[in-house]
Amino acid sequence: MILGIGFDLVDVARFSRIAARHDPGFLESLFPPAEIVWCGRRRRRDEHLAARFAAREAVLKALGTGLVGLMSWKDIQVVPGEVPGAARMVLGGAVGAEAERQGVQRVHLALTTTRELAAAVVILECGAGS
Amino acid sequence: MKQTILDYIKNEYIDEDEADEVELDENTTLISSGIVDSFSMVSLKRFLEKKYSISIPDDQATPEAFNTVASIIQLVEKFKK
Repeated sequence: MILGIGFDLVDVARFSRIAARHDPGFLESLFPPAEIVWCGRRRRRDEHLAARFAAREAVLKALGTGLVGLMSWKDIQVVPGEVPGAARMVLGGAVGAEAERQGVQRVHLALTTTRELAAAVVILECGAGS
Repeated sequence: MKQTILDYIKNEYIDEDEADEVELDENTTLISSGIVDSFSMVSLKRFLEKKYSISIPDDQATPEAFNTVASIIQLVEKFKK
């Protein structure tokens, strides 16, 4: 059963421009080192980082909470999926605890990017009857 | 502080071709009008923390707190020592 759905869209040029104005600690406050490294190995790093930011926004929309309480951006990880080009989401910390509290049993994630836009959709699934 | 934040928002988040159309003051709604999107809000939080040597907890950086420059100033004052 679907518990929640979230979608977010990021303008890649705007993301790049804003990120470039800050020190490296800015991106490090949002993404774990592994994601920054993974995206840095791609042809267009900021396109992939923007998609991962969109994924974070999408899951918070799906939970219906935003970042509240002890939640942190780094409670959310986007890692490569089993299929090349796919990604999956790992929730930990306070975000993971909230997902568990809501009965989330599975997190579905899809990312897509163009040079101009990065988008993510998250569907939260719980067991039937939850 | 008000003018510093207004100038930052105008220079960072409003495109040049829209600048003449957007009236920005301390009561202009930033998020609900689309001037500041989700990533811009995170960026603005970082700017405020660096500029005013404060630390804003993530759960305090809400759309409500960032929706006007007036509310942003209240937030900064709350965390300034």
